[in-house]
Amino acid sequence: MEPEDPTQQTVNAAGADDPVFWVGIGASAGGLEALRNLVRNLPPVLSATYIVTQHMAPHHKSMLAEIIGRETDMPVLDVTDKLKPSANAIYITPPNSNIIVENGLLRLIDPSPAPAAPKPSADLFFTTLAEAKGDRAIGIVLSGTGSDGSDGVRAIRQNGGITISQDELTAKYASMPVSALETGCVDLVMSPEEIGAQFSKIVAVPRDLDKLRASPVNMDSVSELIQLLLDHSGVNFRHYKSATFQRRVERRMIAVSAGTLEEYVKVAKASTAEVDLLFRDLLISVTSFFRDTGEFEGIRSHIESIVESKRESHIRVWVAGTATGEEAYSLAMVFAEVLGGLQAYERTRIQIFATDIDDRAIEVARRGFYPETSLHEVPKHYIDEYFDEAPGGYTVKKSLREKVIFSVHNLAQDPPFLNLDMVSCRNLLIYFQPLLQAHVFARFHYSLLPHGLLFLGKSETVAAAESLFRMSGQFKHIFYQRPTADRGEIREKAFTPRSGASMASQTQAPGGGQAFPPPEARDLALATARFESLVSALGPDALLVSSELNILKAYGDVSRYIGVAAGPVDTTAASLLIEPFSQDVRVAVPSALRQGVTIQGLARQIPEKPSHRHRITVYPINEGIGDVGESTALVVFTEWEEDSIVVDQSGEEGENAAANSEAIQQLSRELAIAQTNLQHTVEELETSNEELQALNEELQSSNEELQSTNEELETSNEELQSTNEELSTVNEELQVNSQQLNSVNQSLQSILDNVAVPMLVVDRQLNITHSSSASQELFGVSPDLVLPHVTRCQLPPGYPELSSSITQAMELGRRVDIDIEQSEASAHMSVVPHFSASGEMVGAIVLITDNTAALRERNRQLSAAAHIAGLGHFALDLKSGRGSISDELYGIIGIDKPAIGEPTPSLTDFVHPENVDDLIVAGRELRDNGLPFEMQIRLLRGTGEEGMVKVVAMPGVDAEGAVIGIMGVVLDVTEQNAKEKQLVNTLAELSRSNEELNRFSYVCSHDMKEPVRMIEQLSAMLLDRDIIENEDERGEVINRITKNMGRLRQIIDSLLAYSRIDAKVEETVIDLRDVVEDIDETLSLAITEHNAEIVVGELPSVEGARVHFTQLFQNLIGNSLKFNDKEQPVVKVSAFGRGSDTILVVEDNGPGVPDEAKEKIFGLFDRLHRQDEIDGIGLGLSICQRIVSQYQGDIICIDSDLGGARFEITLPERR
Amino acid sequence: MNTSAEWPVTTVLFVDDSSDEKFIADFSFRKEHIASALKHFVDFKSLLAHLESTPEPELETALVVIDLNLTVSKGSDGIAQLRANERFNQMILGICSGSDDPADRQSSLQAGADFFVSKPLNRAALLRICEQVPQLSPRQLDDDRISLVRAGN
Repeated sequence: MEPEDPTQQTVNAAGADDPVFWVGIGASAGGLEALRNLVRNLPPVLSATYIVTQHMAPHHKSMLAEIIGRETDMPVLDVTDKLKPSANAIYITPPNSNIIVENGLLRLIDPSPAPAAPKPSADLFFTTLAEAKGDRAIGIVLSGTGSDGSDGVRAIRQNGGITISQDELTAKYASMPVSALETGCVDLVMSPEEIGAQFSKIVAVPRDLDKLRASPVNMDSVSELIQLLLDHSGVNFRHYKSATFQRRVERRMIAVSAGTLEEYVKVAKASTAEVDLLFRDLLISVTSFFRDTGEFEGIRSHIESIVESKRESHIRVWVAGTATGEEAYSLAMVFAEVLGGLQAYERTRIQIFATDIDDRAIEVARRGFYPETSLHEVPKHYIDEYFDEAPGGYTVKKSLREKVIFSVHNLAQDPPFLNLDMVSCRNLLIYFQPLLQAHVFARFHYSLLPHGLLFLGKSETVAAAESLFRMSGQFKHIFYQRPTADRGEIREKAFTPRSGASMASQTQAPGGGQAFPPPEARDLALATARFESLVSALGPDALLVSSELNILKAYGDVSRYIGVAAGPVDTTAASLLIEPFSQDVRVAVPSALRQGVTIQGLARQIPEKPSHRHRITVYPINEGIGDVGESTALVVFTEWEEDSIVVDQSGEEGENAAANSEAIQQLSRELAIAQTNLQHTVEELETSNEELQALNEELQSSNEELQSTNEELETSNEELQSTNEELSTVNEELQVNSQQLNSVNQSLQSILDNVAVPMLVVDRQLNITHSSSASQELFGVSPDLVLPHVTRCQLPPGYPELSSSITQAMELGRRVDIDIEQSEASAHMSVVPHFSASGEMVGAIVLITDNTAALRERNRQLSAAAHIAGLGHFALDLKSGRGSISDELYGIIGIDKPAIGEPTPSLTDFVHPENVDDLIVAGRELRDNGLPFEMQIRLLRGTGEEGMVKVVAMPGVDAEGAVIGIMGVVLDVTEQNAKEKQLVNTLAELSRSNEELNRFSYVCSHDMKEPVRMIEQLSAMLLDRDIIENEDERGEVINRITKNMGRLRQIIDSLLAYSRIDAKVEETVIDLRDVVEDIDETLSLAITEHNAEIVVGELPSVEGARVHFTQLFQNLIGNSLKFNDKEQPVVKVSAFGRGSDTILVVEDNGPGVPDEAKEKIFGLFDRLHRQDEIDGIGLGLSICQRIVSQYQGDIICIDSDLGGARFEITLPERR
Repeated sequence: MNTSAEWPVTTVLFVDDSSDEKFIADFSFRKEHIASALKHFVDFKSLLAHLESTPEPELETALVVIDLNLTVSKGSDGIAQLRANERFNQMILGICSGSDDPADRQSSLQAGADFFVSKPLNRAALLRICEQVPQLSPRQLDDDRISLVRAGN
């Protein structure tokens, strides 16, 4: 148990870092958002710690701490086992763990193995928190499904803590907050933001509360508050235990942030709502099914006794302070079980009155709905038998509920129920002061039949009324009523027939209500005379009075008895007669009438005649007799002179003794009369009192039962109204659904009317239930037909039988797709089984996707692409023998497209004869064996040109794979081939050029290096002593150096000339004859030296660089002179035309060039003679070849008719 | 056939169409006291004629060195031709060149040359030949001359 002042002790023992308040926060679905809003507004400076139990998947790695941590400056940490929480920190319970409070520490335990159990359980944590922290525990239930947290807030409330529930309007999932709210144990209902913002007030006030506890309570304020409550609710809380009252008031003070009781009283005075809230708070609606299970086991045997003893008679039970009804239903279930089940219970005349002053609790009880968490203590078989499962919990079965009559009833003030076999009042009296307890026990005693059963709570006894109840034996909280004599009489009288009813029955004539016949007037007069004579004989002074003492008639002289006293006056004898006769009449007349006997009054004196004595004698007169129709009485006054009665004390006998004796006798008679009257009066008063009391109580009880019944009727009426409202709601929903259905139908029809896709919906009998306009057009189905069969559809060519396709799809239970291909159309048909919401197959949907437009577009694009690519195509239908040739192919062949009606030309007519056979063979293989082919063939175009085409052909096959046609494409590759050939040549040229370049580099490096190396070595020899000393050798060395240097210069000059060939030079028309003449002059010395003859023939003019052709002819003519070994060398220069080419010829009569060297001689530095034979470096002809190649020409060496070499230079026509 | 274990190379048959190379080689043999005689040919044709007229035993004491880049033929062609000839294929044949191009070396050896040596043909060149040909080794004679010795099979 917690100490009385936990705040003080915590602070003293642990220091300021220890939280005063422990705040448990339970949340489930939608809790994250609520938590974020809550912590965002929580001030981080309160002496509180916050422990979050958020339902999470057991194996989910939680990011909750991180997410919540972004919303607050407070540290947000995961709970670890045996954690001592700090103030102003938020702790998150990890997944798959339950959390409890144990010895001031947070402990993590294994969660419930039940699959549906929430993890972590807010109920478990709140309960342990409540037990550990008492009124310093705060429970907050946030958004979530289910009812976790409800038991927890109940526990916190019972232990004095504060409970808060999220406002259901702000909760994503309201089930948890609402469930908590329905326990009636929630103090505050707020949005998460408000909870955060107001939290400082909620936890700040208790510090002032402690001061309040330490100071004497202001009784004036308390009384004022009690009066306010009495005025508001009619309930007097004066005799409630002050500690309970004070605790509840303090709770409300926290809620409204009132620092003192006086402040709170001010608030209460200003707000009826606050008084109502306090009233609700004081009504501690805390209960549960089978609370204290052992006690219920004990009561069972007693209930069996009651059932056994009552047999067929009525069983009446009163459950006082029933709260939300759990106890009443618990007892009802026990009775039902003892009776042998629900059906026997229904048949039994049993009433269980269940009362409470809290109308809201009674409302909850009447509904009979309880969340699942409330049924923990209810045995499983009870749940199965007495409850119906409902969303979020269970509802008590109607047959059980019908015998339980709930009503609002103040136990202390309202009349009790009567003739009860059992009263159950558990855990209510503990809140009452002993005085009120005694009052209540007296009521219970009054209500119960003799030896009736009283069932109290675990902490309650009958100490305040031990004389009224006795203990049952072993069970300390079950008592029997002790019968008392008084109570028996009262109850007996209470059930006697009422006097009014009795009198009414007496006015009825026996045998069917016939009245006495009316008397004759004479008889009446005679009877009157007789009556008056009788009265005269008795009186003669008398009064005839009614039962109400009204004077009906006076006889004789009664004036001396009449007098009007001060005060109100009426016509009754009691009012008009003087005393003491008035009193005598008031007493005697009712007694005489009731008992039917004559009653005498006492002898009286009146002041006017002191010597006389007067007495009244009352004679009852039977009903129906006389001139009145009701009970009457005759009051007769008698007077006599009273002699003085003197009692002789001398003891002498004689006259005096006789006189004394007579006087004594007379006095004795008077005394006896007086005693008799007195006795009559006393008895009459007692009887009247008892009757009145019993009558009153009976009326009150009856009234209460009527009230209960009326309330039940009201409840039934409300239930009927509620049912009616529900039915209205259902009706409205149905109407809305109907409208929506109509709207959907209209939309569906609109879609079907406008959708361009052919669609049919058929039922299982293949009747068309829906069809789109497009399908009506496609299949020729009239929209006016009602449920036409699918066979009525007129199928376009190529379409499969619809009925078989639909039947197949329905039999397979899956989609069937069919491609429809026609020459000018393409479509795709899907047949999909159609299922109802319950999964039953109700038909099928046929959907046609028309791809014709796409096909046409694709064909158009293909044609465009073929046109752009110059790709022709052809097709041949083997079945019909018909063929088609595209426009592009006609263009490739070079003929016009034949007019319509003319035959399609045969392609083989345009194929070069060398390819015709190959093409025919390939075509046969394709036709007969389906072997595709690809080949290049020479084409003889219609224009007369020759071309080259590439033909690719492949078979067209049907569904079985049989060849039904041939199709192919033809690509004109004439230009492509030419380009490829040119490319090959260019590549070869490049390769050769590259090789030549490599060789050029090599040769240059080698041939240039040779003279350099020689110069180097020969120069080194000049330093040798032997050479220095030998002048001849020295001279030879120097000579060799000089010769090598000359050779080196020659090589460099030649290379320069060679390299300049590529340089850009001005090109003009050159007269080659002028060029040769110039050379003739240049070589005139050599010509003369060799005795040579230069013969120049006809030479043309060519386009080119003069320097090139000068170099060309100079090298060729120079070589002819240099290598010529004849006496008279002849060099002939000429030209001729070959086609468009110009052929230049330089030939001589020299030794010629061996055949094996005719190509080699054009190589760089390639020579046919050694240096010591003929001087030269081997670049002359290389330069010639390079020049000629600049003009895309060619130079060759052949044998000349002159006997030597002939160089022919071919110059193509320049464009 | 000479049956002794080794014998001196008495003649170096040098084929080169450059008179300068011949001049330098003659000077070097004389100046550097090389015991072998240097016999010069201007082309391969002349060498072949000489070899064909040479008695077979003398072929074993001769060393053939042919210039790679002869004007009218290639030295490697000459080597190949000799290697193809059964009479000459046991001779020690080699190529000389003014450069030391690895490609030239490779093509020469592929043609059948026993060695590839840079010009000029002098004492140093002969020593480099000995390094490449296992059968050859230099031998310093008493009179300060150097001789190449060929080992027998």
